[in-house]
Amino acid sequence: MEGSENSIYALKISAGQERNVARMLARKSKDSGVGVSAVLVPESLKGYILVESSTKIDMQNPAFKIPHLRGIVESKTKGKEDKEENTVTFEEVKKFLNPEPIISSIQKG
Amino acid sequence: MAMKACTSCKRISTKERCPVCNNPTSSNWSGFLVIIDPDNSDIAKELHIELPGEYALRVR
Ligand SMILES: [Zn+2]
Repeated sequence: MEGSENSIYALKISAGQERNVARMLARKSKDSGVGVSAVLVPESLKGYILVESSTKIDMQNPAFKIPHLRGIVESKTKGKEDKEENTVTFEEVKKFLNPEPIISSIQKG
Repeated sequence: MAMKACTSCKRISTKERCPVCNNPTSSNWSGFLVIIDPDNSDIAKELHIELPGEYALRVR
């Protein structure tokens, strides 16, 4: 990802409400102009959604006041300088984007 | 109304055929993605999504 300023955050959601929260969050972010560009609900990640944003997520922002949205996942190792500690790397996100192996990508030995 | 996903572009709709690309839709899908701003989304770029909207990650 060349030159992207976006970060991806994990949010904790009440189980079973992931899609509803994703839809509501998408609608609210569009209206309020926070930098959220995509919301991802991987089926394999029960109780979480992933949010791509160009700005640091502020849970106090009204856009994130949503029923069943229980909070942001904070990293266990809180760095002093590193502000991006609680984000998910794009490499990790890619695994959820391509849940099925593509036959053509299998290397022929 | 049951949500169905396009077997080609994976866009979610309630229609029998995709409103965007006119390919058949399927009720057998999983994973859920909302693209708000495709021009500023790494996820949208990775999946070659150019239109805002709701998408499945996998469609059968
Ligand atoms: Zn389509």
